[in-house]
Amino acid sequence: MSRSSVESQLVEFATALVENSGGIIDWQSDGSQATAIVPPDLAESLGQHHESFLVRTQPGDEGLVLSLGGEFVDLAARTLRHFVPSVGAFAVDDLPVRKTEFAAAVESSFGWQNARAKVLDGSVMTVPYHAWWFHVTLQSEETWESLVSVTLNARSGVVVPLSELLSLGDLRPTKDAPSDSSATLDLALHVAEAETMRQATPFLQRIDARRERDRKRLQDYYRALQRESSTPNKRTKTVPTAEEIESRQKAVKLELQRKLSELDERYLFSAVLRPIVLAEFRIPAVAIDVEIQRKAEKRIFRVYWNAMLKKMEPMSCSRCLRTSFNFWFTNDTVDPLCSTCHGS
Amino acid sequence: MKTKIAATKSVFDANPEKDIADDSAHVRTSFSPGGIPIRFRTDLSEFSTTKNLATREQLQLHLTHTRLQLLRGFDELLCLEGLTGVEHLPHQIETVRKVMRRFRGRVLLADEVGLGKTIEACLLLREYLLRRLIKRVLILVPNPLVSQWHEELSSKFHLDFRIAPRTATSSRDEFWATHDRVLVSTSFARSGRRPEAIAAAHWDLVIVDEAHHCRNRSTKLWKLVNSLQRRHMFLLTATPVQNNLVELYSLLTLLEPGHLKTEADFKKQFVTRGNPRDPRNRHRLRDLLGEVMIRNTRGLVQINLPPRYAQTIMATPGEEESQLLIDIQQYLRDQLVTTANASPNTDDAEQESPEELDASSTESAETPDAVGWDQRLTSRAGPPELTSPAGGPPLALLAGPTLPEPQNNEPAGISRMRLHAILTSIGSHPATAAATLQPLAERDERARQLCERAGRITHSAKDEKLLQLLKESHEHKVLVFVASIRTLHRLQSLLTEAEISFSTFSGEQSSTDKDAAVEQLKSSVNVMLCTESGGEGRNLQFADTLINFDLPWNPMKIEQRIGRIHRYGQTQDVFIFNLCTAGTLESRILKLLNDKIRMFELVVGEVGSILGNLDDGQDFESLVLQLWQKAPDDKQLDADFETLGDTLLAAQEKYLDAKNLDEALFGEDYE
Repeated sequence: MSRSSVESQLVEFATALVENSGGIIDWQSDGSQATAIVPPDLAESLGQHHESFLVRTQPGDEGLVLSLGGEFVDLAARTLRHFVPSVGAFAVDDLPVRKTEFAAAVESSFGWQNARAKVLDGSVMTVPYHAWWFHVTLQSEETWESLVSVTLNARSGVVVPLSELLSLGDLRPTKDAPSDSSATLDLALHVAEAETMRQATPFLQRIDARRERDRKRLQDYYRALQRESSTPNKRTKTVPTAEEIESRQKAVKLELQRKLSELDERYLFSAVLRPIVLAEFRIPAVAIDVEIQRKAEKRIFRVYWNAMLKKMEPMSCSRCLRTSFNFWFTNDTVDPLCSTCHGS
Repeated sequence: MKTKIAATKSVFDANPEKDIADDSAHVRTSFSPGGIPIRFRTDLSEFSTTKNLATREQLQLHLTHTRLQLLRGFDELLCLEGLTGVEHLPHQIETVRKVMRRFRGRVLLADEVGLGKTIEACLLLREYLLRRLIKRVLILVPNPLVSQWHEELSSKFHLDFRIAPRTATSSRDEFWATHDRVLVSTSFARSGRRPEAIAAAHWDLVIVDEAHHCRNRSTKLWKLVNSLQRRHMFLLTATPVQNNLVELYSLLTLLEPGHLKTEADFKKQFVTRGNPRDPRNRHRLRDLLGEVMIRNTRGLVQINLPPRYAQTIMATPGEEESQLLIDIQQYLRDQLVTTANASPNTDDAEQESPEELDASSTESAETPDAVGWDQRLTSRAGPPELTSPAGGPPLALLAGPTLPEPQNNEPAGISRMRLHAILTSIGSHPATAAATLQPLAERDERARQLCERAGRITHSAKDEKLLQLLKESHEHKVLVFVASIRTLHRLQSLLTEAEISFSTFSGEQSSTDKDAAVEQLKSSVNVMLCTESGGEGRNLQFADTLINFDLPWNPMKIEQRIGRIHRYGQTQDVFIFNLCTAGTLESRILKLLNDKIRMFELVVGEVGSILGNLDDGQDFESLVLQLWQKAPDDKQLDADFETLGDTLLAAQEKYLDAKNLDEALFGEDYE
């Protein structure tokens, strides 16, 4: 029996989950079911009463049923939380780094407007990069979900375009805990929000359109009621007085406002970002100090040449935190501004 | 984008084992492009750190889990790929997403008629199957809709369902336990020993069409559905409330028992004393219904079609054609008498397969269940008992005086399917009738003579009317529908002789040829000849005129034809012309549908709701065929059709009554 793509993913995941949580799992040759033997606490976490139980790909009364529709995904979440750590630290060795000629690299990469730049010294070092993965949920009348990842230089806080680091061939696990991540979490959340807005644009537009449609429907309905407020009573044939018409119209207007307010409340978006995984990658880099002078004021900025990207990393705008290679300096504190913030 | 970042605490604080759950929620606000506020919040409750560092595989395990959660989120629908001829509308996709996410597969789909509840249910079914969330599916539908469901599941959604056989097999538990996808009529499912057999099996999904028949908890059907072991259930009805609000309670109790508490609680809280049709606490009731019911209305989804106008053009046949019609019908009646009086062991019985008939008669021969091709015409005994809707005459009384009762196991001289084919071919075109009679002509001199006479009529009365109509409609894009491929060929010759340019769309063609035919109609010709498959899945809304050269006996098929151009996206007024030869069965059917229920003025979908009210009965075609079989003469046939018309009218009144009530109940207030 051939498995669907989803079924294969479920089987692969369940097998890895059990094995990484201290159990063993043995699949039958036809792949339809397996026997798992696990420690008691893992069995309990997976909702099983016995340390040995069946794992199935098809619905059945007993054992753990692997399906997206049942409770398996929720049980797996609980198990992952209790049995599988979600923070890792790795080193990427053997990347060639040369200290020389970085002055030219900085000069060719960056543009400094309204200021003079002087490249100071450069030093080879291992720099921690934090890769955060977030499960993002946007909820309104409907739900939108995504997995968003953000990788930052933990020293500079700059977002770097490094992805798929986890699948690098020569990753070496390290025994040292990752460096302080509170600052990178804040920055990563900020970037993840922007990325969420970008990815979810079609969804947001769809909900916007639906709200507009519903607003229009309500407005049309209550406008029709407004128009009817001056028509005579069908049964008694009495014509309303001017005060009565005004009073009715006021009431209809208030009711419309209340309905629209309810509608807006219903369509309000709630977005939740849940960190799933943090991986620290220690990557060789060259840190280069650059002295920026605007009028009489000077300030030193540190920029990085990334050995994996084999190029300079950008800097962050002091106002919007977006990364850029082109900056304007307009104040006495020599804060770098990107072209957007400078223009606004 | 306006974004404000609030301060956060360190994830890696002094105690790395500390769970950093509750004290790290931060709220920021952005806005959608349309200005709806988006409140961003960080939830760290499920992210904890331990002394142990994760391996690469362990981190990937977390990510795979999240990806599986996303798959479960149903944002990307799998069911939309690989469909044939399904034009899914935005509200249908929205409904599918809602049911998958919010309703967890238990829902009352109560869209207004014509908005595509069946498509929604089939999309959902396909999505669940593709995701392997379900395997065993039972679909319960009123008998007149079985063949329609079977055909659509197969041709549009590529899902093969087994129709429960009308044999002893279906009373055995094994049948229901071994077949994973079964389609069965509600009347058949609830009779005999079958309820126990069906309930003994486990179902992942149960779909009940025209679910308002489950409104009464004392009925067999409600008890059957309630007894089914199922994980998911879709109830489909445009009119969930027919008489009183307690019916709604009964329906929703099937879906989510306890959702509306007890019946006494429900009445106390939501039903006005003394008026069981008037709800109290509407807002609370609406909120509760919103958790288990989806109702799309035309106003809500903004589908407002332009008006359509129908006209019947009766063609009076010439003497030769008129006499031929009479003689063929007399011949068939005589055959029935011969058959009924035949010896049980006679070898004369016509033995033919549906395939043979397919080849000799119609392209779109009815599905076996539609006319019961495996039944021989052995008698003029009354049709199977048919319960009419309240207020309508009992359909069992439709038959006139009956001919001699047949002996048991009597073989037949002509099959039901052959009879159906010949009768429909007479209504289509003499050339088609000649071809359909041909197999009988090979062994029967009288049939051979009829065949020859039919072949001699080169221009039928309808031919002339068609040419006249096409000349008058030269400024319009016209679809001419025919039921038979032979009629299509005949019309091709006719239009060629008359020098009228046309394109052809039939089941014989490849997909490329079909596309070319549609393109031709769009750009260079004004007429397209179509068989029943005409334009399915193609956008033909640029055409505004439809000519039914012949008329299928099944009103659902007539409605399908109309639906090809009177549908979402049509901006012009639509004109329908029904061509009919006086004295044929089609003329009676047309009169019935037009005069009694004013079918051509109904919204697409309403015919199904009306026929669905004949829930205990046969499908409409079988009923017509049996009326013809049982009537010894035209006078009796007219009387029987009149009775059938009254029955349909009662079914329609019942539907309209429920529709009005439901509109009042779930109108603006529910939306």
